[in-house]
Amino acid sequence: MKKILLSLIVCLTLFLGITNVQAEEIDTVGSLLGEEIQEGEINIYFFHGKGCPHCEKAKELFDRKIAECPELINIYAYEVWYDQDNMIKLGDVARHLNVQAQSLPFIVINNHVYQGFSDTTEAMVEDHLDSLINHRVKKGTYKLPLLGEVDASNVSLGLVAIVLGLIDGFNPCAMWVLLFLINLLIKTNNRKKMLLFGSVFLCTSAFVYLLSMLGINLVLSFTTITWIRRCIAVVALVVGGLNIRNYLKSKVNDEAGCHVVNDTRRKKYLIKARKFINEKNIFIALVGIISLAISVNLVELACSLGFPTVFAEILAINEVKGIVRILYLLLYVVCYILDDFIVFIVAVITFELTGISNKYNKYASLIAGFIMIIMGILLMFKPEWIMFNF
Amino acid sequence: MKVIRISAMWCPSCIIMDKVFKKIKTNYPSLEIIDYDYDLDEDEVNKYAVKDVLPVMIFMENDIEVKRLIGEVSYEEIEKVIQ
Repeated sequence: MKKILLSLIVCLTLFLGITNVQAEEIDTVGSLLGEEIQEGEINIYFFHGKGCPHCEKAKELFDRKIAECPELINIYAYEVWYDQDNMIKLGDVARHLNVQAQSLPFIVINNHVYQGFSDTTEAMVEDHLDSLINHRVKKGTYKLPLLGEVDASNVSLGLVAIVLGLIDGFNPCAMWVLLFLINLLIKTNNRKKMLLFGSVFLCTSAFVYLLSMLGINLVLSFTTITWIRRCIAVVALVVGGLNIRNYLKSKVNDEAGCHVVNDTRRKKYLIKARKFINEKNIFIALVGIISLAISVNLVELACSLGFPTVFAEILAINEVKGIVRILYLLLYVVCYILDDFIVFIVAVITFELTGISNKYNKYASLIAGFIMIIMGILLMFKPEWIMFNF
Repeated sequence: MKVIRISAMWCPSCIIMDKVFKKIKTNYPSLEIIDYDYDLDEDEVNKYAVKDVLPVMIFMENDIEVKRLIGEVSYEEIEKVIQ
C-alpha cells in the first residue's frame, strides 16, 4: 500500500512539475495597433489626453516602473484628444476587448483594461505590473546542503507541496484523537471495524483539511494586493518564531512526553469516540465518526493554519488556478495525512499501536520554524524567488 | 517495589513507553505494575499530583514514593531506579 501511495505521489509530482500553468493571456492588442511587440516583455498600451491630470499620475507610475526594469517594460503611448488617428485606435482596441472606452487614461496590460486612475486603480495597476515583473525576473542558482547546485527555476511547485505537507503533517494537533480511536478499535479485536472506522475518520479529516485550504485559496485568489502578501509574511514569521520557541523550551525542559491540554474539550471528544465505537448500528456509528472527525479538525485547524496559508499564497503568486490548483492542494493534503495513515495501517496489520517519539517533535518544530521564517522573509522581500517555472 | 504508571491512550510517548515496560515486566516479573489511564481513572490519578506531561511512572517502596520519572525515559534509567 505504501509503495502504491509513493508511486502516486511521484507521478503526481512529475505531472505537476512539467505542467505549464502559465496564467497570463496572450497580448493581442499590440498586433491590432500595428506595433512590433517583443515576446516575454511587458507591454503597456497607454491612451491618454494632453493635460489630463490622472493621465499624468499614471505616467509617473509607468516612468517609475520603467526606471526599475527598463529591459522588461515597453510603453506604447497614444494621445487621443489632439490626435484623431489615436482616437480611432482607442475605439478599435475597446471594441476588440469588448469594453466601452469611458474615461482616460485607458490602459491595457495583458488584455486587461484599466480606465481612469483613482488610488484603487493605481494600486491594481501597480500590483499587476509587479506580478508580471516578478514572473520574468531571472531566478538564480543556489548551493544547498546535500543537493549541491540547484537552479531555482527548475524547482517544482509539486515538491513544495510535498515538503510543506509532510512537515505540516507532523503537527500533533489532531492526531491524538486518531490514536485514541485506534486504541479503542484494537480492543474490539475486529479488524474490519478498525479498517472501516479508521479509514472513514482519516478520509473525513483529509477532506475537511482540503476544504479549509480551498477556502483559504479562494480568499487569497481574489487579490494579489501586496499588503495581503505582507500580512501572510508576518503570519509566517510569527508561526516560525513560535515553533523555534517550542524547540528552545523543549531543550530547557528535558521531559519528552505528551503535554496535557484542554481537559474538558478532550474528555468530551473521548467520550464521543467511545460511544460511536460501541454503537451497534453501523450507520449511526459512521455518522458519529464523521461528525467527530469534522469537529476535531475544524477546532484544531487554528493550531496548524500557518503552513496552509503560506502554501495558498505561493499558489496565488504563481497564478495557479482551476483544476491544477486543486491537484496541488490534494497533493499537500495527501502528504499531510501520510504519517497518520502509516500509523493506522501498521495498527490494522499488527493490531499494535506505533507511536512516534515526542523526542523528535522538537526537531520537527525546529525545521518547521526555520522553513516558516524563510518563507516569511521571501514573501516579504523577495516573492519572485518563490515563483516557479513549470 | 511497586510502580504506578499513568498514561493515556492518545499519547504517543505512552505508547513508546509501553514497549519499554514490556521488557521491564519480562526481566523483573516480581515487580508490581499498576496502570491508570489519565482520562478514565481520574479519581486515582488525582491522588498523585500529576502535572501536564505524560507518561508518569511513580516508584513506591512500602507505599512511599521514592522516585518519579516523567515522559519518555530509557530502559536503563528505569532499571537504575528498580535496582
